[in-house]
Amino acid sequence: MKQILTLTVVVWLEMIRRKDLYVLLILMATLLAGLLSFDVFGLSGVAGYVKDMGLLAVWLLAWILAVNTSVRQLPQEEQRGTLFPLLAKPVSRLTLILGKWLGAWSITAFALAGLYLTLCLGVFLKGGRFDALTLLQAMTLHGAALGLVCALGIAFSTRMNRDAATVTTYVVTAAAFILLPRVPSLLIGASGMMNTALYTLYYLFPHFELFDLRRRLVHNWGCAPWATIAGVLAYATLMTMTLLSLAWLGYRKRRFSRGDIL
Amino acid sequence: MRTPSSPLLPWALLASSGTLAFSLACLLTTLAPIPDPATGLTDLLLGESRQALSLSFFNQADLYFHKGVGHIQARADTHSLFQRWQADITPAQHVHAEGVGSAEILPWLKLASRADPHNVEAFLVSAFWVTTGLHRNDLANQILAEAQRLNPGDYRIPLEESRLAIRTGNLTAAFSSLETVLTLQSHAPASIGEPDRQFALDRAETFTFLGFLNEISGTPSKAVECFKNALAIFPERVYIKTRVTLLENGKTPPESAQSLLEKLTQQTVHDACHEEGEHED
Repeated sequence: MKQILTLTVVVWLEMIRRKDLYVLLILMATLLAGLLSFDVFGLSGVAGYVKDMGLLAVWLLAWILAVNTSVRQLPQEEQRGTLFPLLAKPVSRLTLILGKWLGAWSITAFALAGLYLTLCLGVFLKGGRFDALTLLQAMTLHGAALGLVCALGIAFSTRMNRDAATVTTYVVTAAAFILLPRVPSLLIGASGMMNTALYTLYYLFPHFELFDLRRRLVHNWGCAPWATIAGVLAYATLMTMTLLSLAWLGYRKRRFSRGDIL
Repeated sequence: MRTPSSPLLPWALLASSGTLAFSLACLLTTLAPIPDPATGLTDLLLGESRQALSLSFFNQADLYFHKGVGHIQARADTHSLFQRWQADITPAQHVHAEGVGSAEILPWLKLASRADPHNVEAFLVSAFWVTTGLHRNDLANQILAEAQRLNPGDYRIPLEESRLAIRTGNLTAAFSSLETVLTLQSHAPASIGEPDRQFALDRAETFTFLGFLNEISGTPSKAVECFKNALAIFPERVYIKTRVTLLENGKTPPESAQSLLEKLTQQTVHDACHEEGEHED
């Protein structure tokens, strides 16, 4: 466990040096400033559109951060050659994967909290507010979804170079988020092979739509049932563990040679 | 083996490619169409895609009217936990934004009209909302004036102005707006193929409004003329037929023109939704 936490700290230190978090927060603040300056016929207290567009921005920025942070961890170690002293410590490959994942996820979760805080401030300035409990549910589920994204990114990066892993993670997560909720509609007209293919996709890919509470939050529908939230969190945990196991399986026997790197 | 090259070669390449690029730019700028100086920034940046963007904002306004619940789509039951969780998480009741809450729709309508200033529907719906939801007739007038400035030839704007004027009891303004509607309608291009039903409905409504207004102002002969024009478009409207018969015989109809006008213009947001057949019930 100590080794995992040490690796996590290393990821944090690297991220602080890279200043990605500041850029994200500045982008978010700029977007909010634009939204706040939009005049709605001189009416006050109209904050729904700020919540809506702000949450969309939070989802997009956190997604970008999660993918970029997770997919670069292992290829970067390989490229720099720092992987060899690391594995000689000895640090097991599973520990390495878990440490990198925890680092990437904790940074993304931290950035997520900052983004939500900025958004809450923007909404408050516009005269609106979020329901506290629904916000807590939304943030928790969003954080869990990002854990899943990080695990997927790490899993792809064990077998691909950084660029390929980045593109693949973006494509898979976007497709899962956009297409999977439509599968039940597509199933109506499907039969035979198409039916089987759609069901396979439906059960195989992660259901990111389950982590999205934006509608409840924006339109003040109140909290979702806590049992459902617990169920979705359990699903996220299981799915993350599966992806990290796949990452470990793909990485444990992988051979590295300095010649490939140099 | 190294090939000998002149040190001037890179400079010659740079000069020739620069000259070629400049000549091409001069040639192409004369061929490209010059943008209209009146074209706005939105037009310049988005081109025709602004209409799609405007429609997207308009649909978002509809989503806000239904408090984030989209139109119901047919879907297979996968008997999965995922679908059950999705149903628990996503609100699905059919409800409408009301009162002050309806103001949340307005930013999207404003964005729709900003994206495409010729999306008259966005202006009309904005005006309708600020009147019925927020009871801000002053704001509705401002919105319609802006719409008129940007779309001077569209008859739907003075028609909405006339409805607003009737609701607020300003019958002189209503008269004037309805006269403008008739003028603009007479200049409207004829529809090709299928007759435009909305145009016919609006024209009949204009004549009906004018009929009632003439009745109120004490000119029944003009009122009859207007009602007959409305009947020429929709001959099956029995209540107008009866009214014409009564007025021609010098009798007073049982229901006053004023109350009928009020009924016709007091449409609520729920009526609008029912008209579109959005309710399941």
